Amino acid sequence: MRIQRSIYRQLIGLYPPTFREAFGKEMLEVFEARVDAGKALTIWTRELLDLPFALAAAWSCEPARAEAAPAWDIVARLRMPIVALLALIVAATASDLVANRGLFHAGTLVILTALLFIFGGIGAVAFSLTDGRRFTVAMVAAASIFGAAIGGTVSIDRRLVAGREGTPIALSLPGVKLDALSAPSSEAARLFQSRFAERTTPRLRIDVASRGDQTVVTVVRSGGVDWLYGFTALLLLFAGGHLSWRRLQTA
Amino acid sequence: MKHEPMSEQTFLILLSLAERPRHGYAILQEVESLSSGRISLSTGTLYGAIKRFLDAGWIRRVADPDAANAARDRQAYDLTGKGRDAVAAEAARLESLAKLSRARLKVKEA
Repeated sequence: MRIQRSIYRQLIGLYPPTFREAFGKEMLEVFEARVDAGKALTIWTRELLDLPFALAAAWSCEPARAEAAPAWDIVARLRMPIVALLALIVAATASDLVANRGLFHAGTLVILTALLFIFGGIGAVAFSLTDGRRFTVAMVAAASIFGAAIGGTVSIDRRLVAGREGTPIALSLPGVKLDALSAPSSEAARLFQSRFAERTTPRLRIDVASRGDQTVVTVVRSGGVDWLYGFTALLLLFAGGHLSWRRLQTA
Repeated sequence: MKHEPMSEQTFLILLSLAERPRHGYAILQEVESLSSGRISLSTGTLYGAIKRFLDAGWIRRVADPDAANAARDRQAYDLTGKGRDAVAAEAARLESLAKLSRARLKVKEA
């Protein structure tokens, strides 16, 4: 219960200062009472699913939100998750480096693009919640970052394809030969990279590449989209949808 | 005074305070009971709504009549006259809609 209480207290810290002062203590008490009554998993699921809506509503109702809560304030409040994420990335990158014995290869780049997108997403949400005038700019920036992240993944995928990962179906025209750019050095590394690719590459992609007079068409089928991309995109969608809805209401 | 139509959540939260003041957890339980378990609010959603109702003057903060000695400072929420009017207006709107629906359905059946 102490851990749950501590996590929920962190979540309450994401609400605007005036809201926290008015209701923070009560919210914590109510949350504890609900968890004590049982079904902690259901309660957590509901709380987390509703969180983007509740936060967006609370921040958009803040009278002087631009002054009272600059975007950096939200980012600063997310410092614990950000530190945890950074630690995870460092650990994942380190294990990736060890497994593949290379500095510049697919797994590392996938992590870095995910990192770029996550931080970009958090920043965009923060700006969109704290300053309505920057909403459009923030959404365009988020879309660009998403595009960059996906673009990065796609270019990485070519390496994965070259390394024969992600269950590719390659249709090569006569005389075409794929280079093994980042071929894993061992069976363990190959397995690691394969599992990683399965979790981080899009479901289906068609690659067309020209090399001199040769053309390569590659169809890649792999696992689901990285959940981090999905989660961040959903968060942006919730925040954007909610703000647009509010703006329509007050128009 | 003209009232905008309310969402079901808003209506049920206000209705849960119609009989007597309740604290946050009791409101959640009452809303769940009034909706036969269909609507279960998150804590964040509830307090977001409470803030809006306080700002609109529909509810007010009072000392919790159910609080034990150890929690005497616990707050509860009570429906104001303005809030009661809003709930009554919404109930009348729903009643009128229900009447209209029944009348139309009868015409179709006949």
